Amino acid sequence: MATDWMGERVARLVAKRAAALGDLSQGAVEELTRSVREDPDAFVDDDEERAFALLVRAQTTLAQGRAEDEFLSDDQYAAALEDRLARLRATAEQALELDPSSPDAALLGILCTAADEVDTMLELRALDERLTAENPGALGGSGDRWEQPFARPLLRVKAALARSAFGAASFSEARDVSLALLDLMPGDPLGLRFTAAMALARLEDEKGFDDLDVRFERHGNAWSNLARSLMLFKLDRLPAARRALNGYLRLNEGAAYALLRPVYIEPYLPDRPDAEPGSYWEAALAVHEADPIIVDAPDFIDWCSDQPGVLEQASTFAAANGFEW
Amino acid sequence: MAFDPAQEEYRRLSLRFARTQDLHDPFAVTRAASAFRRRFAWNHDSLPQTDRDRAFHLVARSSQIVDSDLPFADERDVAALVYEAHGLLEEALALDPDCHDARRMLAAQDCTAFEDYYRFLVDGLDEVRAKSLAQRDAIIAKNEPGCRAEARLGMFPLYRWLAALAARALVCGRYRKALAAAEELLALDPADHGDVRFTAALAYAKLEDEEGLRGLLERCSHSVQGRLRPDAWSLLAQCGLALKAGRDEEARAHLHKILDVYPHAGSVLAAQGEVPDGIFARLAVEPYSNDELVLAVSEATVLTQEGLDLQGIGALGSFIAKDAEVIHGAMQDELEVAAVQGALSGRS
Repeated sequence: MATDWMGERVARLVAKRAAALGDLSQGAVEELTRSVREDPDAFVDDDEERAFALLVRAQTTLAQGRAEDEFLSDDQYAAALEDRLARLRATAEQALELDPSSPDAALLGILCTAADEVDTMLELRALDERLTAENPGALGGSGDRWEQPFARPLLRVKAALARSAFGAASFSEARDVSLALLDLMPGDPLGLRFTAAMALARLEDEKGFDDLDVRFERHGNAWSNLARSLMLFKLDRLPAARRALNGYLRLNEGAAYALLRPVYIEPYLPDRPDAEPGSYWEAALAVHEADPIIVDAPDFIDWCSDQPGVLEQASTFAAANGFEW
Repeated sequence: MAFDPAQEEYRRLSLRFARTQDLHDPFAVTRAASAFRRRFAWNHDSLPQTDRDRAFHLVARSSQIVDSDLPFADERDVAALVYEAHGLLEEALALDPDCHDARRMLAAQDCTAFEDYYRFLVDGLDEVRAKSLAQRDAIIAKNEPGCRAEARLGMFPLYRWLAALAARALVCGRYRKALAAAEELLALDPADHGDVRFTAALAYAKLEDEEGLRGLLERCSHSVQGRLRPDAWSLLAQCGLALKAGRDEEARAHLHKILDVYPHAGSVLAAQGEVPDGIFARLAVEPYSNDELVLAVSEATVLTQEGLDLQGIGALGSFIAKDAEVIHGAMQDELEVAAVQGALSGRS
């Protein structure tokens, strides 16, 4: 559910080389793809791709670093995070030197340096405007735009904008950008339906929420169940809110614990990290993203704790996994 | 306008007193009025009154204690004052079991969680509404002199119930519920004695419903008297909405309007403090006064503190606090205070 950086790099290099060679048969394209996959560096012809290569490498390092986090103490983790951000900032700068118009480098730079969500949103708004003005046709055409490798960077910028708008309390903007992106990317590889569901819940827009739900064939997930419960709690329809809460609790392992004991989640750089559907980690991400609504409905968490079985589920999960309770 | 318990009691009793007087000529009216004022101030108990009036008197005294005395009381006296206010309300309920104000104010004091008081107001609304409307119809049916005024005064406890519900729903994050209560009240009382439109403006801003807010302001500009300039609640709501949508210039214009309309607004906007809610109703203060801005800014924290910013005061909160004119205004206010203090100490 996030960017496949290596795959995207290959797709870009293949597209560029194929365009240079002109009119290739399907077999030739397949052959070219195999070669690029084996040695992508050999197919880099310009600074744009040199910059992109740097960013892909940084993403690989980032993923490896995160995998080692769980063995660190709190202090070590804080130091590791700071170190990661510093390295990513440096990579973003290097990439921008090679390719000043790189959307991904600019995006990463903003996410690593912005002071807070408000700042992030303002900078991403400006970046989105600039990129759209520079290349008005970037998201043109038809079909799922995610299939077009050169459209992806701008799609990622817009997805990050939707999330930061949500964090910065511009909920209509978060909703509008997410829904527009879902039209452009019906396959929703970046999980915009989660952000849309949260924004619609915060705005108490039941009709909009339901339309979104129908669009995804009512396949519930941690975000949609939690968002629905919050929305119905806000609308003071408590029995229905309880049913939605139960949906959330049933779908994810440790969901009650994730809700009652939220954990720190580091900034998305730029995508939401992958999470196994139904896992505790997925629930933790959903709770983290729901935070602006949760703090806005001050008694929601107490109400959740009071529902039958919630505290028990949370403490059982904590005990089974050696977490503090 | 707001609800002032002392003033309301004065109107209730003067109405009842007037009915006992023979008011055939202007001279008799003047004489009766001055007699009433004298007795209201010096011999309150001698005025004609029902148990309902007596209960309201206790409500007014309790409001005075909680809303006016308590905030300035010495720490050692707080428990005694709270106990006294509580006792007065219980006494009021004993005199008049349908004293909705007393029941509501007792709940406001007793409920610790936001949700509990909200639930109390929701659960009691149907009964309070039914009784208030029945009482209004009965008073009008009697067709006595002054019955319209008496019927209107009798509706005020319901208005306050709905206004309290709207305000509480807003704090609980239930914006559509806040609007439902506010819109019901505005339909009952288009002149908006309780200024519930202020709460509604904030709820529309929280729902980011610009059209709804515009509609509210437009309707109220016709139905509400005596408000020729925009108020702080609607300006803060408009400022917040413009900022959320990235229309910073417009947001700044609304903010600066507050600085134009309210005296010493800079220091209030810079500090963004919170004050406790009035227990009887929103505290009755002078329109467009500095006090009114303090109340508006306090109620608007649900809007200003939204959004994760570095200072932890919210997106709108930090936009306001960083504004050059707000900072300048706050500094001017400080200098003025210092000058006054200097002059006073020089004199002593």
